[in-house]
Amino acid sequence: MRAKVLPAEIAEDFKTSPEHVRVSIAAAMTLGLKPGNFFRNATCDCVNLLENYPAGCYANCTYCGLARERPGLAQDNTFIRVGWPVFPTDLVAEAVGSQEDRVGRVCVAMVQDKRAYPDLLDITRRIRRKSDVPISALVTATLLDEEKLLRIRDAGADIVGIGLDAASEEVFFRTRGRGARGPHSWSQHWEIARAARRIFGPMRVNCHVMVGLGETDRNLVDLFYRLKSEEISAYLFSFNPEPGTAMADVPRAPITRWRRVQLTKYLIEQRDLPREAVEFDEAGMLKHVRAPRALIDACVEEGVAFMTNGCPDRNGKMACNRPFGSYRPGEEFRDYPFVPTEEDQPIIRQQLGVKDLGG
Amino acid sequence: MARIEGYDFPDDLWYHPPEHLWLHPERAGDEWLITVGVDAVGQDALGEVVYVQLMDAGRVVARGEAVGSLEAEKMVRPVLAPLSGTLSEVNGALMAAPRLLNLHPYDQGWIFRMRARDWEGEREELLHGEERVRAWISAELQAMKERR
Repeated sequence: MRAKVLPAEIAEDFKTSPEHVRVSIAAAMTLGLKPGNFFRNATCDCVNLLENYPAGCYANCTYCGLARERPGLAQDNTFIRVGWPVFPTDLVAEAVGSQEDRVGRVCVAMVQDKRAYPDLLDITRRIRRKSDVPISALVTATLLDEEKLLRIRDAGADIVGIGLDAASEEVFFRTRGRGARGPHSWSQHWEIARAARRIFGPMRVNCHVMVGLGETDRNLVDLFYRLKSEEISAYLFSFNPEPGTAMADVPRAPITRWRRVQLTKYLIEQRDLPREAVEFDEAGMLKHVRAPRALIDACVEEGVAFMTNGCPDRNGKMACNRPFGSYRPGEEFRDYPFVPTEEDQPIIRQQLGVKDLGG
Repeated sequence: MARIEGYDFPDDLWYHPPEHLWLHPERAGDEWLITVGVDAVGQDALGEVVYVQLMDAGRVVARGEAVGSLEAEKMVRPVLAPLSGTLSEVNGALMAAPRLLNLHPYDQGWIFRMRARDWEGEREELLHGEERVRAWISAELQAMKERR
């Protein structure tokens, strides 16, 4: 008798979490689950996992490839513009355990689904059983409370990430909340961020913040100061329109804006740039950053300001570098997944428009 | 057909080791028409191809000149002409469906065709024949394992 073979797209419907997880292409390549190499010999030091359900995600964020109202089947769609192949969770856990020298961290990301929270615990425990590698939980704040955060910690996660994404309440409402026919609320996200900060400790909670969702630079700068004062990390992402989503036709932030936001964030967080040193125009966009030219030059030479923001490995070195996560390898770099080289520095300098920046 | 650690290398093709290209020569009157693609190891190293960009047919190119680029999810590389000549055709089906390069590297995934200026002279730089191909690919795969 011939075995019935399910078409791939139907078969993937049944490969749900917690038995299966989606793995970022970069992580799948690193673990040897998918072929391929990285442009400029970049490495991927964090294994990013995503829960998988037939509907994708019941939230409806206007920029997200997993949005409920995005046309097409969830399994055919991309997330952050690339495919996320599905693998058995235990296979991934084995691969992580056997390659601990190459894996700096694992990140388990929730979606909006009633199964998402218990499955996050289950997946986290499966990874922990096979490996001591640090684990981040990238949580859906809407589904959580303080008690659940404690259980996430007890399951083995040492860092919590929260996809705040929007830099202001108004942008949040329009892109993620009721304005987008989505379930998320700004206040709930902050409540969970602060609860997580209490439970996990200073700089062990991070909020993802996207540049390009319609916020002003003033919104971003205000948020950087606010997060710093609460000892919560800000991880910057460059919005990149995902085909088929409600924001598919919205252009990305110009590269000069992106570089200046990266630099300003770095100066605020690492060099204690005072608030009055940042000047905005009438539209709330960065006009001048009154920092010594020598300091800006030093930042360009050091390069860290222009790298990906991400969770660290067990030695404190940034692990979650998401190579080519928010731009194609053939395009100009947005966040560098490695320390920019000497050849990159003149490009960064030009993109920053250093001469005009200081005012 | 040579099968080396799971990778196929058809015997009738010529190979350009530095760029992992295959070439299929055909006599067309007084000229040699060469079909060019990426070999099995080359496509595997690239990863899943998502964009293919190529110059228009009719362009005269020198050996080593870029005629386009292949972009995978995490990698981009130029497509260099393995011979001097004139681009006679680019694979429109591949540009529309780049994954053909991964799925069918030796047939539907061909990249371009060119009329070679000096096939007999320039083919000296290429590899042909199972023994030579096997030696090259085995060494290449060994080096890749050591780099990992």
